Amino acid sequence: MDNLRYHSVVSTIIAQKLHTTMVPRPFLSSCVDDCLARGTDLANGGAHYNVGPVLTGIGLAVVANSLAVIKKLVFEDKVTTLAELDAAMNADWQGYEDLRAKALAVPKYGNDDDYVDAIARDIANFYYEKTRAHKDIFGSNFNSAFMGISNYIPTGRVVGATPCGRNAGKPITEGVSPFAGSDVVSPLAAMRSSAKMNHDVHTGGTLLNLRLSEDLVKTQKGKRDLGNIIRAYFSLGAFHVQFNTLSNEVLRKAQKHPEDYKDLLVRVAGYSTQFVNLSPEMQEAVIARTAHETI
Amino acid sequence: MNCTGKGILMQMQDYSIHDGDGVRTTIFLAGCPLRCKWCANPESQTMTSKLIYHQHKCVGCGKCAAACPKHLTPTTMPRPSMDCDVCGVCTKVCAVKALEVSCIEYDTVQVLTRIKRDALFFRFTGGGVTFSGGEPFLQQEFLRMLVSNMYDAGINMWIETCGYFDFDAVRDIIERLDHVFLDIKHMDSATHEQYTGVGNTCILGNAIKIHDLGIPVTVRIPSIPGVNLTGENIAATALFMKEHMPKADIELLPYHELGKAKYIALGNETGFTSFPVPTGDEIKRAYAILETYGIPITEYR
Repeated sequence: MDNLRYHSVVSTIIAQKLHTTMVPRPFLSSCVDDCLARGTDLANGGAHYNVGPVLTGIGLAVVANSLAVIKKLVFEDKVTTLAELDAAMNADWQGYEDLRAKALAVPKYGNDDDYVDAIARDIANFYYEKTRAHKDIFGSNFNSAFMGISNYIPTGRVVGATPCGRNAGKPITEGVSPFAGSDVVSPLAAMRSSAKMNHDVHTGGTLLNLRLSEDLVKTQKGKRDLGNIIRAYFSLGAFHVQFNTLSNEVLRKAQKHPEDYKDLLVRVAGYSTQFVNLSPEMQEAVIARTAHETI
Repeated sequence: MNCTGKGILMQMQDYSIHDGDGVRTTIFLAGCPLRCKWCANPESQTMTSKLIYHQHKCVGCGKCAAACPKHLTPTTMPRPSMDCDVCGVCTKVCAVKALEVSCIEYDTVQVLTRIKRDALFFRFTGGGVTFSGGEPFLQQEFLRMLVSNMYDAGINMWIETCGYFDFDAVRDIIERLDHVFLDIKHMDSATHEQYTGVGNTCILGNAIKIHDLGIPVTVRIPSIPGVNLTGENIAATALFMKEHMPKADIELLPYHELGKAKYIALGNETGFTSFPVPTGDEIKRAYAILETYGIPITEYR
């Protein structure tokens, strides 16, 4: 991870340098304090406050879940070896179904289980410390974040199988959200998992995506409860949460009859869009996010 | 205090939003003195551990049979089985969670630890704990210990009861509760006995006694057309409430057939009796009758 972070910093700084000569932003600069007075473009550090670049981590939950599997199955229970796990990864779990079942049974981030949540917290802290240590060409510190928007889908396409039980090419995870479908306890447990991290230091933002059954917000009581749940989550020091509140039934209907559902907005990650405009793969990813049904 | 400190639960469910004010954690205590023919949670009727098998999840890998210390085949054996101790070994080797054990022993500390964790969400949403079942008053000592600890911790507590219990034995528990949901399943005692196994005299008496303690009461009717969702029974319930429980409100719970899957998973498909599901209009008509008697209607939705 440190190596990746290093290369990201180097490439960001190269991009910044290129921007100083190739990508001026005259209109935006005219809207930001001091650029006009100094006659200096944003890209050249003309702003009163030059906020440093944001490096956003993607796949936090996949990494935490995978390290938890290695910790438990290889080092604690000794039911497998790193070599066997490696072979299973290369085979995309084909022929290793038993091992995969064991991997899937190891605690997953998003269920308020310290075993794996503590790993996620350690990774997040490490990522912050390493990222924040760098300065950009104007002397501003880099900012860490976990808010990968929709990057987790294309990124997943080039990532092989992971020890958490995920298959090659499948989406990884965005922001501080649990792996799709693995937060099986309740949205409150997912919130508690996320809140174990120190959100304050990730100045680029920490996004939590949850999907709720639509009947949570259908009634006045449901809306009031949702608002109060968000207040409770923020009281734990969290930064952001967003919800999709659609039933899978509706989304499946929309896949079959897109012409009837052109208005159907879904919050994807940091933005909302028409469900029918998403790629089939993205539609599946939205559906796969655990729908927390109430009983 | 003579407390066992242990009890049998089906489960604890956080993020319950239909069981009272705010966001609640529902504690399902096992065991029930009634045998309602429409029961949607047959696993809750007794406190014994039960092996549950979800056939639609099963991939037929045979690991459960291979792991069974008694050499049984959990997927095909009749359940409940005289030979099966419900040790749960098969549920642990099942990769697809097709097998599970219902009715598990918890101690007070386990329950209170969970509740402490959820308390933040209670505080912000005006929620708390709802005791449900089964019939929560059946495991009296365990309930008493939970209630007295939560009372001291300032946790808001509601209960869902069938009303069939010895009032004097649990009066101290009721006095510490914030709200009681009480089922009045039928106003005619003989019909009540026909469908639930017991008459309603004790239940109606307890309804009045709880109401007279000053604890807010919501009467609930598991509403089934032709059984208790009839003009006659709804009017009789309204009259009883008007006369004896003037401060209580009412909520109708429409019968549903979701329980059928549970009977099948328990290996007791023949135990399931199908009743007609009420339409929205039938529920509306019943509420209209209740309104004419001035009974306040509440829906926790």
